Amino acid sequence: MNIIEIRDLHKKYNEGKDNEVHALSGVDLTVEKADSLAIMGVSGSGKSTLLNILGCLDIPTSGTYTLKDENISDKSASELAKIRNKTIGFILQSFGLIESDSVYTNIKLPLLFSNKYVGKEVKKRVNSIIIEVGLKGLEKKKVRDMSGGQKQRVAIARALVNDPDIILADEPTSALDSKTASEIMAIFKDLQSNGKTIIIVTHDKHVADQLDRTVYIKDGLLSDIDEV
Amino acid sequence: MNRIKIFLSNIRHSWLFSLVLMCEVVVCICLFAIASTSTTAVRGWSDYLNLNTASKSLVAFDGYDDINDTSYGTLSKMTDMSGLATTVELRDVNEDAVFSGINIATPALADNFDDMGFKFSGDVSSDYREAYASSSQTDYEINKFYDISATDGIDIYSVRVKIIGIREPNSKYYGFSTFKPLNEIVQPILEESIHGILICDNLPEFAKVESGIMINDIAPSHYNDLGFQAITVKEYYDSKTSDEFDILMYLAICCIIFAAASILCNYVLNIDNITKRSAVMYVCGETKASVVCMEAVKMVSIFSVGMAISYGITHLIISTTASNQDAIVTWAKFYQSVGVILGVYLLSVLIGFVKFARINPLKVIGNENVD
Repeated sequence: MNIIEIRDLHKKYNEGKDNEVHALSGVDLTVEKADSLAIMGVSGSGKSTLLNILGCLDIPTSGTYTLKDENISDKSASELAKIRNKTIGFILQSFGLIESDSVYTNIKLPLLFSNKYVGKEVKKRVNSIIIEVGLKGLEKKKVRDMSGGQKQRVAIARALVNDPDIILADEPTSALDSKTASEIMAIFKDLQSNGKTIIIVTHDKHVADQLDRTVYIKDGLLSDIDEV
Repeated sequence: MNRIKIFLSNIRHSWLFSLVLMCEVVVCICLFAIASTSTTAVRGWSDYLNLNTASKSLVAFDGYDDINDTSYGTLSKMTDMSGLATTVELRDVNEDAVFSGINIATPALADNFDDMGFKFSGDVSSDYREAYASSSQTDYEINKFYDISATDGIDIYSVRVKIIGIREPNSKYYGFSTFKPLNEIVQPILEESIHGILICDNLPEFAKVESGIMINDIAPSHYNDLGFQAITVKEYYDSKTSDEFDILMYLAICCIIFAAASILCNYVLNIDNITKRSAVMYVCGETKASVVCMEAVKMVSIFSVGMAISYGITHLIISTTASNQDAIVTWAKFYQSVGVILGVYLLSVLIGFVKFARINPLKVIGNENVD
């Protein structure tokens, strides 16, 4: 079953102006449920743009995006926000955490926008996620006092807390040493085995080789062949 | 409910910034209110600085070594006193009743200053005088006649009065009577005759005259030559208001500049952090419109809380002030100050807020974590 289906997706920035950029030029992509996909490409190829659209952070200029059999191409901003909150867990490049807050507060943030867990269930859910990513005992620690690997675990925990179907990660291992990177990738494999769909943007061939499939993006177009 | 949680989360995250901004609002509202009230107090002379009085002579008769007798009779022999606008107080003949004397306002005062809270016809030819009783004098009734007497300790002044009005507690009027020389008079003399009858009559011969405005065309030099201290009302007004007013105006202007600069700098310095946090919230499931709206609500809340605290401080000051004359702040000036500082606040946060509202979360996301 396809969880994600994109047809003829285009994304233009500054459309109609002299500095118009055609970031995506007719992308077609399907992703099956519980699949893991690597998106590779050089800088400026459009991979972050594609990831942002997949994550409902941005909207395409044209084309269709079907998510869980629902066309979300024309959804409103508030509807896309709900999808971001409930269906997608996004792991930003360089973590995107609030350094002055604790591990617990950072992970809890998506639950503020959701009614899925209320009252005591919130605490229970956050604590269970903390254990799942291997951060037990560090709930009250400030993020600024943590290592890169720990921060990435916090970012993953935040992405998981609402139990989304899809995990999107933008260069999740680029700031980590090889040992920590392997640990993080093991977490992703574990999530996939639990039914999550994993999509990772990466430069690292070693990371891509650990996933089921790799696509390459160049000049806004996808292919299965590495032409770099 | 979620919205409230998110809003409180935002406030908690930027609590120091919010607190500093709120304190700035409180300080500026209170200081500006006090400064503008004080300028009004200084400006109080302008209440009677009009075309009729500006050129008249303000004369201080008492307080000089060369002149020991400033009774009305003696002064009348020295110069024309018919235009004297002043009040003179005589105490009750019954020494036990110290608070029920008579305040005599001259016809010139009654005729030329009609915004006093009392109104006399100015007729002193009938066999009775119009009078206002104090509300504390419960023995007096309107339209009734009474024979009363008062003294300076030696001579007796007796008069038949008809009560035409009751003065409210703490009602004030310009009496222009003071024992001080002109250069020691701080502000227009507001008589606070809570007790005693106020009548309009020619002064008895023995009445001691302290100071007053001469409603005639005689220049101050005439009175100075007689050994008194005299100056035109306008000159006195200008001398009294210039330095004090300038200082207070500078204070008020400094308040505005401080408010603008501090609020602007605070907000601009914090806007990057606020922006980055908002971008993370966007990723986690908030819309950009909600993020911007919540930031606007937060800024409005900061001002509202600051205003509420200022209101409390102002209430405390006003409630502990003995009389309006001593007031360092009034409600009218407080609300005026709120309006001015609100305008400054909105302009100051506008730059930062517009920058924030125009953010593209996608551009903010990523390279650095949020502090």
